[in-house]
Amino acid sequence: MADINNVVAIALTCLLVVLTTVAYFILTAKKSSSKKTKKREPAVFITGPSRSGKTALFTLLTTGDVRNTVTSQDINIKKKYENKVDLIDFPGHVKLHYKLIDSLRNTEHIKGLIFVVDATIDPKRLTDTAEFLLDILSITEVSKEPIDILIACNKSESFTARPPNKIKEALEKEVSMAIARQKKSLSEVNQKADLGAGADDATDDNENAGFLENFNGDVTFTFSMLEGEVDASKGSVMKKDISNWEKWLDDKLSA
Amino acid sequence: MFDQLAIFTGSGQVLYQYNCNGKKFAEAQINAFINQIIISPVTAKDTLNGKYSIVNVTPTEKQTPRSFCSMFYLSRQPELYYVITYAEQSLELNKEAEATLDLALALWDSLEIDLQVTQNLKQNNDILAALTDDLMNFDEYLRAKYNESIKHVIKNVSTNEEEKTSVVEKSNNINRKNNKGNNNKGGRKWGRDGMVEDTSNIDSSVLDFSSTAISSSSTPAPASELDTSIDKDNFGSRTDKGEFLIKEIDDLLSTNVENKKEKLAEKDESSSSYLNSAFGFLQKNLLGNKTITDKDLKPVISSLKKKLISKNVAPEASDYLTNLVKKDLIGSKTESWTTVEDAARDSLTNALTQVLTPGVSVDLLHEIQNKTGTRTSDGRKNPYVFSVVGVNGVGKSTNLSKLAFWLLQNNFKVLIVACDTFRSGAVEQLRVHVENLAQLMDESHIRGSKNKRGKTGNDYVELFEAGYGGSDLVTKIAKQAIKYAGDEDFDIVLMDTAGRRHNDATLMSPLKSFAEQAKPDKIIMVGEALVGTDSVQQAKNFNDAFGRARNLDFFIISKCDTVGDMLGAMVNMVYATGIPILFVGVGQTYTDLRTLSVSWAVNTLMA
Repeated sequence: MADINNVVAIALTCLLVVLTTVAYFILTAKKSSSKKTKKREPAVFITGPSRSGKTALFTLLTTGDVRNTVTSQDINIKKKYENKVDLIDFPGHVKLHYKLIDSLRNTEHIKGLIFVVDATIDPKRLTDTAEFLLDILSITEVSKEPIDILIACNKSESFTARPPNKIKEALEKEVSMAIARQKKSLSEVNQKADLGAGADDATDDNENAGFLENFNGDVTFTFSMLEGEVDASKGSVMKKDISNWEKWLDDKLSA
Repeated sequence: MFDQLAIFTGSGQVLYQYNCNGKKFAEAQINAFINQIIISPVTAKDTLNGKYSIVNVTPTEKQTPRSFCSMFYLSRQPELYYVITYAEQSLELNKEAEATLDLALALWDSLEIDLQVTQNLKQNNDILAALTDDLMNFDEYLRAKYNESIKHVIKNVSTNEEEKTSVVEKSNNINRKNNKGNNNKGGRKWGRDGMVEDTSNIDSSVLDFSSTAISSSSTPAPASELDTSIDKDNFGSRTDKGEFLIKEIDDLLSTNVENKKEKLAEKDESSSSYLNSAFGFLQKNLLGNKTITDKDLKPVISSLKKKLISKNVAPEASDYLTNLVKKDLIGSKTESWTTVEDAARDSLTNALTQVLTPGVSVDLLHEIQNKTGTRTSDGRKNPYVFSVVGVNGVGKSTNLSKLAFWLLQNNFKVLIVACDTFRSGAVEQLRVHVENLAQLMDESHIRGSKNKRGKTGNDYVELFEAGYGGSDLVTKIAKQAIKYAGDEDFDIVLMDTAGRRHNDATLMSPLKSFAEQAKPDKIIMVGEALVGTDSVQQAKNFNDAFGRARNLDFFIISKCDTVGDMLGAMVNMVYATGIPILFVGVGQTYTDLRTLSVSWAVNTLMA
């Protein structure tokens, strides 16, 4: 009897030891891997500079209504849009771009990106827009799957609106100028090189560098150089005239 | 009359809008308000009773044609902004806005629109689904009620004013022997820096306890009483329908209060079982999927706060940041397999990122090219003018020369101007820098030699100096230098100024006239990473020194190589002003200037 008791006791202890070690390992593994895991749901992003009509487009796509909107401070999300993807509308304010950048890095399948532009804007004043687009491209172009971009030239109902190909050209020009400027500007601080502190989490910022390296010298930038396709088409949220964009979206969703 | 009332979500969906003047609703105004909230949230000041916040929106660019004032309330769960805009801050308008917000909130609650909104959000529906009727009711009720209460409030305020003045007169007569004309003075308040803060909008009557007993009886009805205290006799001439509507609204409002109380009681009961708390512990530390409460967050928040302070973040800035985390998390659900602590860390990372990210894109090279590309009508160059300000010894001249070196490498011709006419040796110090830079640009340059215009330097870089003297001389030098740069085809003018203590008004006041006269394109403040808590006040004072019309443009944070991971000063300065950091100094040589990488700074702070 004593033997059996002993065996049971030993078995129990072993079990206990095994369980605690497993629990311990799970916990520590979780601690170290607390870095963000990638989101698996496929998504379509709507983005662009402030006051171009992103949220209005989002509402039109999801509800079929045209509504007044104000500057967004947070994302609008429609899960299971057309039962296929998450449709996400990002704020356009410069200070909130990090939300988009984070999501671009952390989403595994981006089916497409709608970059809404105000077509009435003077092509000479597209500098900020081009820089924003460049920030986006420097991430989408190094991702595993090429990400297609639609430049949605909104507000085509206005008589000052410019045709999509003009806007695309202007953006190409501005982007190549922005690349040239970025090359000339001072480099970013980096823990290891500048401060000598041996931080082990060397920031993964330099993953963008690969994209810009291709554009040294006097090569002018065109969208055709990119891996992802870039289309531009016009439309108007106010007049509910977005068939061009819906067609593009359908293509991407069925692909 | 206020201008507009809007209720909208954080993601930009407008639920309700109302223009008081009967005009078309102008989103531009609301957008300007949101812009201000995003860029410098610290400008929001709480109202006296702490329920609402007031933001003065000053005109920026062409978005806002005129400045206005707005009072807002932010509800969480669901996140909704209730914003009222009005022309300017005055006792009457503030009261009216407050009363209207009270009314709107009460109506919103009693129509239970919140519940529907939350449900819509949860079910991934359109946010306005099934709300049309409620919103129409809300609109009708609000207008009716507002038309009644506005008369009421304004009447109340004006009678109150009269009473107050009579009271003041009386008490004046009594007090006159002791302290003459006490009531004519505004209240005075001393700030942390020992300077008298702006006194114009502090109501001295708050401090006047002699008449509290009388005036408290005559204060305008607080909004909760607003609905009950309307004298029915006032509506003598009202139509039946109008009266009926008002009564209906009042009924609605009063039933709601009871409802709410019951709900709250229910909530308290349900959340106290033992099993719940045990499971809650597991959820909190391992499983995730837990609705976060204030209690869960308290220890986490205090540890995060300690961490921030240990990284040299000022207590007020860390309070602000952790409050953001609190607002972000309370009531939300953690993802599965995420502890509350992880969620709080993520949220703090986001908050820090948002604070440090510039609110406007600053592309110096682009702006310089734009300005220097054009010429004035008489064919002279338009130089791009920087001026550098800061406290003594933070590295103004050093960073100015680093900046000059970078600009020189981009093929700009640079004129360095010695506007520090105060400290002995300041001009000589700059001369050394110019000699160094000239030598770096052109190896054949002989130190001490003059260029073809008879100045220190060579074709690329030159020193503009005019000796030492008072503050009049500074503006004179600045203006002369800009003219000279235009004549001699310089692209860039870099002006070094004397270091000054930020809490000394006599030293700070010349800055205003300097900025007005010299009109620099960019005013840069150099702040050192070593400084600690005082950085909040430094940034604030320097930002305010240029008057209402002008602000600092960006910061250079120097000596970052000396502090290791204690980068708190960066957060402090941006928190206090909303002005971005463009460059950081990381060493002694001319090449040790870097642009700020927000992710690097955030990672270092959170490590």
